[in-house]
Amino acid sequence: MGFEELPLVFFTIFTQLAIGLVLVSALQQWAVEGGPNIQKMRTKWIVVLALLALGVITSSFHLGHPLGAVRMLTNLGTAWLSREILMVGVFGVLVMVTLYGLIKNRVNKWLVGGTAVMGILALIANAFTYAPPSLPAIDNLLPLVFFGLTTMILGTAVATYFVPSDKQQWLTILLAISLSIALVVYLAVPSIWLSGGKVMQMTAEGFLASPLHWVHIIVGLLLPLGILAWQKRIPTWLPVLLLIGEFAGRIIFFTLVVSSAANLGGIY
Amino acid sequence: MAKQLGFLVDASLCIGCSTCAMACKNQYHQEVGVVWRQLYPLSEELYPHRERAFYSLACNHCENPCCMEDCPVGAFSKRDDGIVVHDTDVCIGCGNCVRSCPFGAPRYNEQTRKAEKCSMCYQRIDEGLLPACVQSCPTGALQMIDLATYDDPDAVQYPPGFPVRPEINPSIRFKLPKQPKVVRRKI
Repeated sequence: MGFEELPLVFFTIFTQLAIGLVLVSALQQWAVEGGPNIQKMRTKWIVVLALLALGVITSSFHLGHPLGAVRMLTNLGTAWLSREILMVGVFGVLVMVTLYGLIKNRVNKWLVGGTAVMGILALIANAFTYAPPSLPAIDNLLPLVFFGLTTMILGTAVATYFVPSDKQQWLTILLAISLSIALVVYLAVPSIWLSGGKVMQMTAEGFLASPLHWVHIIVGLLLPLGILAWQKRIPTWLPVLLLIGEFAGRIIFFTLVVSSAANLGGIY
Repeated sequence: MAKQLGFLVDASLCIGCSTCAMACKNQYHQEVGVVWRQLYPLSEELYPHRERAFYSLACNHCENPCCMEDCPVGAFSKRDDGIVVHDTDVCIGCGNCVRSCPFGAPRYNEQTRKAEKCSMCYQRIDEGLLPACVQSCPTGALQMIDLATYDDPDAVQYPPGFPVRPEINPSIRFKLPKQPKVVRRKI
């Protein structure tokens, strides 16, 4: 595995977890009777801000010259990476404004909703950044599907730490649905790749032969789904399993998807 | 069509000597492991003969370069003659161009921690010279062409062994390798 991609693994997981927590927060305003507990919500948004900060810091390790990162907004017209930085930045500012309101014991439902919408936009930019034309297997909407599922799985699971146990039923249902969809997607996608061109097939073969792919499927999806079916709730230790699974899946996303440049002179 | 310089790779003439790649190295003295031009042998599935065939590839100076599109700091620019130039002073080494290019042209330099790629020797072209790789080719298998005027019905843009990317429109043309002649002895 190339360690140069590790900062991107951490950056995408941390930001998607942060976006997931904000989405759950926005849904919670309408889904839970009586609304959210302001104290727990404040703690949650501090965690969201910390995750975003951690994500941005780790992502800078991916740059050869991190001090030049301020210039990354100069190509907003065509570069998804520039758009991603802008969207994540605006999302971060909205998180800070919301958190300031929470510290002052004020919850603005529309601000929380707006932050969630900005989070979705950041997620879309995030996904298109990692769907380059060189990678036929993911030069499509798959990164958006993968990242969306990570957002929902981690967001709903980690949100249980900030929601009273008697009000977690909807989170359990949401997590079970997300895990079920993810299981189908991650089992089906390599098979679909196998039916594609040579480079897509090479990607599928790499995934299917990788222990990390199966760690993702078994530890990150199948086992948690079984636990949810058995316990009918999200145990406090379940997010750890889910994080392990998501990290395994994200590592192979960044290291095992084959570039068309890898097969120059061969069949396509 | 506006002027668009590109490479013509005549696989029927290429003998796989790697002089083009060495000329590039001699011209720019890249760090060890950084290669701007590389020789790719055709796989046996595509060319199932004892004789081998090769494509000499570098940056294709595409009409719609995805490196230029995806670079967050705008380190790439396209000259009036179609050459795509990378400005290493602007590059911050994010690796997005390396990840984006379907032809593997931009390479990451671990020493400078920046990307770099073939410049088609634009400084030599400006002086009326040929790119180093083209000038060095002993068989004339590698040539510089202007796609605005080049019109050879035998040349193809997407031969077997080269990714088909019409939306990027790589400025390269190929002539296919000849099938080897089977010589049979009279018994």
